Formats: sequence, C-alpha cells, structure tokens
Amino acid sequence: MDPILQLRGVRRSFGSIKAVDGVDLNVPRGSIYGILGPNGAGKTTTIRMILNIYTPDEGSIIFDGGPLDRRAIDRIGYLPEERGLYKRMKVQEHVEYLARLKGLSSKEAHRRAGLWLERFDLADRAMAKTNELSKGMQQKLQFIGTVISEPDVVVLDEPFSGLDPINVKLLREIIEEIHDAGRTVLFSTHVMEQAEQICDHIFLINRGRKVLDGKLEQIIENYPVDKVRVAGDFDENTLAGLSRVTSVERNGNEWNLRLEDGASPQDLLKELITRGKVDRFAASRPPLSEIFILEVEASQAGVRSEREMKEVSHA
Amino acid sequence: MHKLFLVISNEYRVRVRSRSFIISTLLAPLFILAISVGPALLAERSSHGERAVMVYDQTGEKGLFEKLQVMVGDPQVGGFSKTHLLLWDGSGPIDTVRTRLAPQIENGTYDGLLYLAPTFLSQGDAVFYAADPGGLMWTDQLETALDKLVLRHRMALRGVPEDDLGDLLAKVHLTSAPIEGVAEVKGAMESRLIIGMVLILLLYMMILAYGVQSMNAVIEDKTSRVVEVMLACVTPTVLMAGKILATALVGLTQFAIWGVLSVGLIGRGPLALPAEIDLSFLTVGLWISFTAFFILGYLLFACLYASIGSMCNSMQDAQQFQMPVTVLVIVPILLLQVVMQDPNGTLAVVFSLIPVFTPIMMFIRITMGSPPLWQVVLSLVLLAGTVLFMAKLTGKLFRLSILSFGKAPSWRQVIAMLRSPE
Repeated sequence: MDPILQLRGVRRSFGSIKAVDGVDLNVPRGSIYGILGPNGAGKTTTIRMILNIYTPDEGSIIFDGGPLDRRAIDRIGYLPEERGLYKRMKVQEHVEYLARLKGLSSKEAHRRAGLWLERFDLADRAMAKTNELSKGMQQKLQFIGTVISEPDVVVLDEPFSGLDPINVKLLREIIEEIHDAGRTVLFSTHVMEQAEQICDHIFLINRGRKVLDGKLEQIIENYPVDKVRVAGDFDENTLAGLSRVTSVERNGNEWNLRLEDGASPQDLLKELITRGKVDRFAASRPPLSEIFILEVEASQAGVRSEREMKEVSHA
Repeated sequence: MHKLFLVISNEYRVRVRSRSFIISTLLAPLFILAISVGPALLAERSSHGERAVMVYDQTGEKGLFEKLQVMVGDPQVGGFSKTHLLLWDGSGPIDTVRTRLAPQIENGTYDGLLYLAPTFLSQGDAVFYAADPGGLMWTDQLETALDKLVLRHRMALRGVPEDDLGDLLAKVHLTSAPIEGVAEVKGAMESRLIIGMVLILLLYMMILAYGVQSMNAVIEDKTSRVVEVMLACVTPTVLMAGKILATALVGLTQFAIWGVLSVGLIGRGPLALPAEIDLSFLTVGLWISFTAFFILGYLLFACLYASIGSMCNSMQDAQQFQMPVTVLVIVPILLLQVVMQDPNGTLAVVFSLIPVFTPIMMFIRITMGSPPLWQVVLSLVLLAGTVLFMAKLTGKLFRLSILSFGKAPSWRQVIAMLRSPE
C-alpha cells in the first residue's frame, strides 16, 4: 500500500478534553477513505489537523512522503462542514480567488472557473453576487471551490449534510470522477449507510480513538452472515424451536432471526420451508452501523478490563 | 507573501467598491460641513427674525434711550442688529407697567420689557422681563450695550470729552509669537487652533472607524462561515494581516479622496475660506506626522479590534470587549482641552509617551506647539514596538479563537488563552 497521507500517534486536546487521543491512520493513494464515527468522536479535529488548521499536540502527519507544509496543503482541497462564501463577491471572482489561493495563475484560474461554472449551469450567474444565488447554487459553488485546483487529495467534512438530493447526486459524481482520475478522496460522515455505499477504505473513530480501520470489504467479511429476514406464513409458534437460531423478533410483516456462530443460512431456509410458506428470505452480514456499535462495545470492554486489571495489580 | 498580496488585493477591491464605502466617502465631508456650519444656520432659522423690546426708562436722563438704540444696533437708527427698541410712553410703578404689558409679551407682540430703574446710571440696576427668561441667549447682547452705555455716562460725568471716549475704550490685543524666527501673522494662532482641531478629530475618527472596520471584517468571515475555507488556503496570520492591511489601505484611499476633494472645492464659491484663515502651518512635516500617527495608531487599535472580532460571532458579542478599547481611543480627546492649553506640560508629556495614547496625544502636541524632537522620536519608537508586540499577541489569539463558534469567551478565558503555550 502506498499511502498519500499518514498520521502517526496524533493527539490534540482542547483544555481537558482529549479530542483526538493517539490516532494512527494511513490513507492509500487513490482510495475513497471514510472517517466514520458519531458526533463528537474527533472526526473534524482530525480533518482540521490534516489541513494544518489545528496543529497536533503530539505525533506527526506525513503527506506524500514529506512534511505537511504550505506547499503540501496547496495540494489538498477542503470542503468544511461549516462552509460559507464571501457574500459581496461575484460568483466568478470567488471561484478564481480560491483557485489562486491554491497556487493557480490568474489566467489558469480564470479558464478553469469558466469551465466549472459552465458545467454546473452557473455560467449565466457568473457576474451575480454570491448572496444572490439560491442555497443549492451556493453549494455547487462550494464544490467548485474545493476541486478547481485539481488537488491530489480532496477532504470533505460531512459533505452530504444539508444538501438537496440533486446536489447529493452531483457530489457523488464528483467523488467518482476524482476517484477515476486516480486521486484520493477523504471524507467524514456519521451516516454509516453513505460510507458503506461510497468508500473502499474506512476508519472508525470514537472518543478520539481508533476503533477499527481497513478495507471495507475485508472488515465486513470478518463478520459472519448471521442476520436473516424472513417473510411468509409464520407466527411465534411456527418459528419456535428453530435449530441454531439465537433470537426471533417481529418487525412489522417481517421476522428478524439471528443465527449462531457458524450456522448455515441454507440449513435454516430448508427448515423454514418445512414449517410454512416462505415469501421472502434474505441473509446478510451486519451493516456497518451495527459493526460500529459492536466494535465500540468490544473496545470499551477491552479498556474496562485493562483498567480492572490495573486496579487489581495496584491492590 | 504572494498569498498575503492576494488577500489584501481581494479585500481591498471588495471593500472599495462596496456601497458603504462610496456612501461614507461622500457623506463624511457633508457631515463635517453640517456640524461646523449647521448650528449657525439652524440658530439663524429658528429665531423668528426681528425682535422687539419695550424699554421703560425711569432714569429721567435725556437722550438715554436714543444712545441705547445706537449701542444695541437698532435698525431704526441704522444699526444691523435684529433688535428693535421701543420706548414705553408713560409713568408709574414698574409693576403696573409689567401687568399692562404681560398679555402682549405672552402673545409675542414684544419679546420683552427692559426696565431701567431710577438708580440705573449710578447703581447699574436693570431688569429684563420676558415670557421665558431662562432661554434667552441674546440678552447678553443687551447687557453689553447697557454696560457700555453706563460706562460712557459715568466717564462723561467725570469730564471726559465725548470724542475721546472711543480711544479710551479701545481694546487690548494680545498676540503670542515664537521667541525665535518670524512672528506669526495676525490670526495665525486662531487658524492653527481651528485647523488643528479638525485634523485631530479626523485622526481620532479615522483610527476609531477603521479599527472597528477591521473587527467587522473578521466577524464577517466568521458569521458567513467562509473562514474555515480560507484557513485551508492561508495561515491565520496571513488572513488577519491581510484584513488589517487592506482596511488601512481603504482608509488611506478614503483620506486621499477627501484630500483631492478639499483641494478642489475649499476656497471656491460658498466654501471660500475667510481671509483671516492662515494655512501656512499645514506643512509637509505635519502631513507626514499625521500619516505616521494614523498608520501606527490604526495598526495598534486594528490589532486590538481584530482580536476581539476573532473571539466573537456577532457584533452584539463584540460589544462587551469593544468598550474598554474604545475608551482607550477616547481618553486623549477628553484631555484635548488640557493638552491644548499646555502642550508641553507634564500631563501632556506623560500621556503622549504611553503608546496607546501616543497617536492622538502626540499629534495634538505637534499641532498645538513644538514638542522636543527626542520626545516625538521616543514616542514613535515605543508605539512601533507596541504595535509589533500587539500584532504577535493578536496573531496568537486569532489562531486560537478563530474557529470557535460558541459563545464569546470570558475575560478570564482570554487571559488563559494568551498565557497558554502555542
């Protein structure tokens, strides 16, 4: 793996709050890398350190094998969660300004601004003030500002929050395009379903610490196919006493069953057919949101048992 | 450096073409005109033109009324004042006359009744009865006239010939002049006072206005949430310096426009300066010191205001922090009178060497007198040093608080921030 971005033992506190508490992270070149976690987990702090907006209290950040200096940051495009525009600037002017701040010449900034505005149907508004645009148009303008300098890494902090469906689609297209061009996308979200759809690598963070990271496929494959959704001609009695099933729950017209470790969904289906008419049968691995909860619980249990052991040894 | 230039030129361009800049550039001269010429015009308008005063003279002195008419400048005798005097044709106790005239004074036919008691010429006792005696500014004019009248009468009694009176009552003119060099022409000191005051107030207003503007520029970035996008492109120091310097350039641009306007307009038509206004003390040196004190004073206060801006999310939040800083700007103006009277006194010297007061205080001293060169240089050095120190502190505060969008910090938190290691 050839990482474009590496964090090593990075820590950052605000007063007594440890926002990021010793994070190691490797972002492979050309990946779509998701930093996932609940609100307050340390995602934004991590991202701000990658942009050198916050400096780490401890640890180091390596960009493309070198230090994270201003030259490196010029190669990173950033769309913060709290994003705004200069209200009194004109649309074209704003886009060009951001492009030039990332190191483009005024000629090149002008050329690319024209192309992007054209592509996003904003060309006829180029001379309007940014505060005269609709909210959706302002969001498009912010996307342009992030990608116009064709950065090697695009960092998006909760990029889908507050977007209308059209812009969600547009942003996903942009992410695909960057990915196809072999460049890297790093984004944070607390919506696990989104990450599951888009990312190839993930990093789960909770309370400033890593819970789990790696290739999404591999992480999911580590979990057994133990969830089964069944619909058909069943009730509590007909579903009672199924072999190797640990729990049965009603969910509307469906039933959620959970298999024991190592139990085969095939065997369950056979058994069900003997008991009644099966309309639908779906076996799956746990979704990322569930994996996250499981892993957080596991890591906290680990922390707890470590602490208990310390207490014992002190006694 | 390249990015700093980009930030400055962008901030400058957006600001200079904004409606508020154009309006304030045009309105400020009108405002200054309005406060300098306005009150006189207003006073002229509000008085209903001519006044009529009934005089009840019980002195029995012949020709006294006619002399009083001349003194007051009654238009009936060829004077230019607006006060007509009428003689009450009658006798009897004053209270009877008051009662008789009361309705006419109440309804405004007469503006008042001037009573000269029988002993007026020896004792000087006179009463002016009016509908609303509290609010009469022009009774001063009457008093001066009566004063002269009595003085002349008494001198005549002692045998001074009428023709000599003018010479005897001629006023003294005390002028001040430097001990070395050429004596100032008549009126030079007055011109210096008037023009000096205008420049001092201008300096004060510009430091205050642009200082607050640099704060607003920072708050604007925070409220529009564009600040985090910017911080991914430039360091906080560059962003802050860009805003402060661009605001200074906007200020100097505005000042240059006013300069051109005043050179072009003042002295023409209705804006003609009175002949006695002497502009000779507006030397190049004075303009240089004005510009130097503006730039350094502005930078000092812009740093203070910008760090307030970085900690606050709205103008309302900024109020509590803004107040003490604004007081620092105002203090020299409160001491203006004292310093003008004694520009090289201990108070003036001490205050002009305290950096936060230096810009305005030292400029007052320069316009009103000639402070020793070493004091001017020392004050500039101290001020420049303080500006550098403040810029560093502000940069730190800015970096630490620019991305805090919660409520404004308390004073204690601010001090903790300043003390914290980077």
